[in-house]
Amino acid sequence: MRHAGNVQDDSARGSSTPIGVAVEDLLGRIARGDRTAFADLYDATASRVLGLIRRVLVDPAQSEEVAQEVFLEVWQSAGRYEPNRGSATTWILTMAHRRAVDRIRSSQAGRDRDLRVGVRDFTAAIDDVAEQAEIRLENDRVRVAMQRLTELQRQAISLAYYEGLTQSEIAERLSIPLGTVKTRLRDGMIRLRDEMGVAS
Amino acid sequence: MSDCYDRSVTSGAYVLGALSPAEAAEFEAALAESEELRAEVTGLADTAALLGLAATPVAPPADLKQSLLAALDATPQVAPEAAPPAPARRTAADLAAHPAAEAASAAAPAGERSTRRAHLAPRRARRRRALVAVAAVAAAVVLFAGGALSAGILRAVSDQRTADQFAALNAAADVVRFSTPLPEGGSASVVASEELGMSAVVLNDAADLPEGKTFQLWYVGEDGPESAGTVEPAGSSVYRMLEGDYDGEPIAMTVEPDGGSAAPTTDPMVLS
Repeated sequence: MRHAGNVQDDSARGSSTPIGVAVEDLLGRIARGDRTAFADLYDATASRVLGLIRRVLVDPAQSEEVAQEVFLEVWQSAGRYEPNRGSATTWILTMAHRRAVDRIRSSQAGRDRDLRVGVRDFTAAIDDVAEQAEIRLENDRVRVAMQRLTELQRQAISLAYYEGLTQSEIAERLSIPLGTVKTRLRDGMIRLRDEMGVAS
Repeated sequence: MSDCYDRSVTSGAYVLGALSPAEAAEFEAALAESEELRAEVTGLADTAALLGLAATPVAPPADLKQSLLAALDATPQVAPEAAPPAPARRTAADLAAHPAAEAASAAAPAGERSTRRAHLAPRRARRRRALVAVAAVAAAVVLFAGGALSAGILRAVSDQRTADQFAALNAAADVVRFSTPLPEGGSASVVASEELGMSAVVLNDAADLPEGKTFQLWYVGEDGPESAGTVEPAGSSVYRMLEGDYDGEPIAMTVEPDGGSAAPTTDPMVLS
């Protein structure tokens, strides 16, 4: 066990560093074992990573565990990141989302989570975000884009991404055929992509 | 044709993480075959990430970063492609003194151990190949090495030297890990490196043993079982460096009276 008591830590106040192009460069340095780059990447992304995990997993302690797993995975596999397969932000958040969802599906966490209030309305989640001026821009983009979806597409995407349901579980929950769920998810995501102008 | 349609229409569910493991594997097989599908998935994955960014940020507790930085030493980094061969056998001290990145090229050369053990080489090679596959598991194990101290997980471990050894073991180029479910719940994992000649056992969520009982570890060599020390469940996770020199032999665990026995007295569980 290496105590790192003298490590300068500023993560407690969260991070306002925007996630941007620099994250790709940091990943390259992390792949070569650069700890300073790892610390910088942590500062730049930790509050976003933990925010997403908390949104999915709800439980604070488990969310922190999963966030820790995510960052260790980043450290371990930074060398595997391929820029042509998507942005570094996407790579990290995809990892965070997958681990959060895995946790829900594999453990008591999912059952615990089911005990809390059922389906959250996507709009409510967006409103939470709006309080934070620093991310209002991104939030506005998402909000505007979400408004262009049908209610049914919005619901399906929210159940999948934020509630961590599988397509089969969504079909069951909504009593609709699996094929309809697939179509709603894909059509909704394509619409979102086009509305938000994501370059692939 | 309907199959084709079905596969592309699954792209939304895929990027949203809404597929079961089997469905995801099937979709990824389709991905490997279609440039067009890959391009769509890349764009939709970036879109899903924007949904992720729209979640309210949560400032992590200060000790999370400290735990992570402390855990890096014990977290091997995987090479982008086939790693160059590790130059030479390293000692525990080397490993403890150097960053994991340097020590942890995933692939080590086939060991030049004694010829007596030559028949084990394919097995060891398989184990090494498996190393990459267990990277995710490694991350979990490593949490016990460096992280989560604040959570009191490792309350049974206080010896800094032991901790350094455990970190070095986790960072060894040839480290292998085996996890075995325990009959009463939880699991026992073995972490071992022939290069370092060291091994450790990690108990996760193991149920308490009856009063006066302990787990005892055994190296099962050609001359019969040799004690490698005892460990008792403590909290959600506890580890023990095993005594004696690890040379690739199977490791077994039995339940024994406190203090351990000279030879196993209950049915052994084979851990590696």
